[in-house]
Amino acid sequence: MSRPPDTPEGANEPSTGSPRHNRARDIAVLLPIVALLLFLPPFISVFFSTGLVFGVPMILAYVFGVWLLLILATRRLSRILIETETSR
Amino acid sequence: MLTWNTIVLTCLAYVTVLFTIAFWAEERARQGHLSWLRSPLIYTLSISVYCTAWTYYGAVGSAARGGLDYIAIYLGPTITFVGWWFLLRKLVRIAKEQRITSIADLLSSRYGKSTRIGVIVTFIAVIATTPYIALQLQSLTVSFAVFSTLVEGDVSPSVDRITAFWIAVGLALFTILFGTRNVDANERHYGVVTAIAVEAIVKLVAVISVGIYVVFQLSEGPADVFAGPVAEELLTSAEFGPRWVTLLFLSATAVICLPRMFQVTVIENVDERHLATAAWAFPLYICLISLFVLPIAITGLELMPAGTNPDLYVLTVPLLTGQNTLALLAFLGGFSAATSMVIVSAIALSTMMSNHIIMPVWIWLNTHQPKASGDVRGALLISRRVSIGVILGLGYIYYRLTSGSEALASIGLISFLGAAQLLPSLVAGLYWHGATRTGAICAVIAGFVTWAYTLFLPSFGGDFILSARTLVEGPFGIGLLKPQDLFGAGIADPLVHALVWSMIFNVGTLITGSLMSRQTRLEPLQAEAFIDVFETRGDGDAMRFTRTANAEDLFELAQRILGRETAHRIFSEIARSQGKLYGLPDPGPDLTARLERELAGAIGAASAHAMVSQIGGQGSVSVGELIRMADETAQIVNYAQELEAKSQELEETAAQLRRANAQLTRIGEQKDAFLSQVSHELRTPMTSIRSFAEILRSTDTLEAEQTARFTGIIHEESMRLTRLLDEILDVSVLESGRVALRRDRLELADVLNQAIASTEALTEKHGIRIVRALTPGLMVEADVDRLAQVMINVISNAVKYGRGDPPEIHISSHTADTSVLLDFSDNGPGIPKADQGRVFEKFARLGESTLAGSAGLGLPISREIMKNLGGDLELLAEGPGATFRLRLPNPDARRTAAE
Repeated sequence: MSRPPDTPEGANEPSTGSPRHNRARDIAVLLPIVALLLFLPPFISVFFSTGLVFGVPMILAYVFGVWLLLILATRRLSRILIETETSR
Repeated sequence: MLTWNTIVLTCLAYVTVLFTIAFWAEERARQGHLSWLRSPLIYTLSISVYCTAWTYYGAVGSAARGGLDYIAIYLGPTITFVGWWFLLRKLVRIAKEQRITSIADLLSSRYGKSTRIGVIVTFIAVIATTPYIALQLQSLTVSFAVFSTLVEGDVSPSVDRITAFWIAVGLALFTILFGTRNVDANERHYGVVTAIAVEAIVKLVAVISVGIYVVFQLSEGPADVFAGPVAEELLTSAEFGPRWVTLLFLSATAVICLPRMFQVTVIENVDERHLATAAWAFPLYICLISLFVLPIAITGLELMPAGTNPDLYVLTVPLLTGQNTLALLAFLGGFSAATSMVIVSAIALSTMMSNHIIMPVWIWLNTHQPKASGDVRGALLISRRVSIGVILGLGYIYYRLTSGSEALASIGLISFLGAAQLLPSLVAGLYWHGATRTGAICAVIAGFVTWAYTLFLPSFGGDFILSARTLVEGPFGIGLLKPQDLFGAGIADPLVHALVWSMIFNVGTLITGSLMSRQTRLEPLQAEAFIDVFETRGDGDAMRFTRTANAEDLFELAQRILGRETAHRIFSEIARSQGKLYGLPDPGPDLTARLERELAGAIGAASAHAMVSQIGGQGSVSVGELIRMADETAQIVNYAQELEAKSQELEETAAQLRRANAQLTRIGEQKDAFLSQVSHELRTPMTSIRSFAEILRSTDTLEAEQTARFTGIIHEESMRLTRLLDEILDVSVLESGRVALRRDRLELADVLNQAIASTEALTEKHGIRIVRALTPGLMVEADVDRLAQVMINVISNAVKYGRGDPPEIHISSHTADTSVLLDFSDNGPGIPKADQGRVFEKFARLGESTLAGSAGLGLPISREIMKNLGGDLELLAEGPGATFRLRLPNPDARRTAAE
């Protein structure tokens, strides 16, 4: 909108060093650490209960829920990282 | 009803399909149709070789025995892949740049292309993988046995053995056919990888089908499955203690360090972008695989009669409920899991064995025949085929030794920990410049020995090397060395125990070993190529030496190892890049470097390095030359640094010179000004003396009174001249600092009184009142005459320039810190700001109100005197009148400070 009209097409695409790329790299560091923490005590012990959630034991719901979220997050992150990597 | 024949026929048909697929993929690859074969999907599916028969059958068994251990086995790889951006990506990049062929090759290459470390790692990998292969044979045999029991009742153990034997032979054949078609690891195993990918789909479909059947046919959805008491009992036994953490760590490690995982993840990777897909797709795959494990285990426990092997619930539950087709599918899933693992492991290990054990021996045998005859390529292929046979043979022997007694899961974990011993050296190699070959070798050996002693050998239950008695009482009855309770640490779980001790010894040895040893010549180069792989683009320019091997010899070597076509292609490419249209390329460092990389892709870095060096002949890549080159480089670096230092020095000198020059110019100008002033000052009295003397000489008629007046003037003028010359002398002497002034202890008031008395005539003449406010008894150390001279100068200056109405001069004294201050303030108009800087310049008379007898040297001389006395003369900026301040060091203060 406020972009000058003469900016070439795709000039605002992320590239190495762009804030978006840097943020993605920061998250790439953080994500495995967060994943590890979530699967280690005390986090995992907190959700350790045999009580049922939607008919599934709490602990299973937790583990598979976090697992799925990690997969989605990694998918999104990998796309950003690889997109910026190859557009270089 | 399933018959034995159905099972065998299904297996054969399935294997035929796999053969066809592998063959078709190889054909397509040969024709150059690679797009589909090189897709991220195939790559991801091939990584699923992580899920072996252990996973397939063993996970359910583990879940049925209690606990959620099986989930940890899958969460570990998930974390590794989620963090792909660091470790995996770096590994893949390094493997590409350095043409790595296996994990042993990676470590060998990193630690200075060392043959020794390659041998050690290969040895460890083979030992650690053997139980795992045995495990696959066992699970295959057991799953066959399930069907045969069903059909023919009890089977004798000999039938099992025969089954296992033929399975091993079949797998070896398949692996040899598709795994050793070519020798270059970079020409990937498309056939095998595609077959593995198909098997991965079969595994997934099979386990999910059984899962859906169990959850939605045998039960009424997940809520129903988990509602029973069995589920509750299973889950309550779960723990998230040290074992959980250990399993997470081991499985996260295994996905890199197991030779087969390294093969599919790192070596078979064709494009880094595929890793980005696998980063989420592989976790998704294992998430789906493990989704139904617990429901199947629970249903199995509920349905099956007590004493049934829980490892086989995936098979037996559908069989029991009469779902033969589903059972057959489940069987094929297990079959796929086991075969894919064995095939990939055998390929990875055979590459390692041929590159790190057989090739070095071959080179060693041919040391004295640089152009040794014989087809290296053929030898390599045969060595790989034999290796595959050996590996499967070892697996079969282990299977016979342990006789399939153990639960599947524990065998797999032994392998995991064995492979994990490579992790510290691997990670250190990727991130720590200081890691040395000695450190890595010692670390790997220390970790391996601890692993073997605390986990591997005890797994034979006292039948192999370690006796049952040693296990219970420790060797020679030494309790502290009990294999499963080392140093009495009291860690109950043998796996956790082995992990803790092996990692402590491994990492500890790596760090101390690296710190205490030195790197060999090649190591720093390789370390840099590995650690900074993302910074240094391009392919190992750092590794170029001046090697002048004969092009024909090199071509012959390449032909023998890579085959005629490939060698021809590479050489013509190099020749073309050199601008030659035909013939062999010119020998040179780039040729040898390129060839070494190509060969490394086939036979490993260490062997390639050794061979090319050997062919070079006449020691053309002798260590001596390397050292000389390194020395030369060091010298050049030193010289450059010296030059830089010198030029910096020069620059500084030049700056100093410029400063000195500027000062000289200024001083020269001052001197000129001074001289012209002096001559001008001297000229005035000289003129009047001369003119009066002329009058006296030429006029006889002068009256006596007049004569007296004229001679009086002449006398006065010559007096003034003398005074002026004295002052000039004074200034020059004082400025040069050659004068030594006396330092007597004086009372300041005395000196001031003397000065005031001397100027009394002057002050009275102008009617000036002097106001004194002196601290009594103030002492200074000075030359009395000189100090008085300064005061007289200052007072006369005040009289001359600073007359107010009525004129007054205030004299006051203070002590400040280490100084005695004496201020002379007049109540005149003061000195304009612009002129304040000039009052101490020589001949600087402010304004035009010059009084006779002053050459304008008074204040400069006074200031020099004060400086020579260790003090100063300052003009204070504040008004209203002008205030001059004499500063002298305070002798008493100095004394007090000294005390």
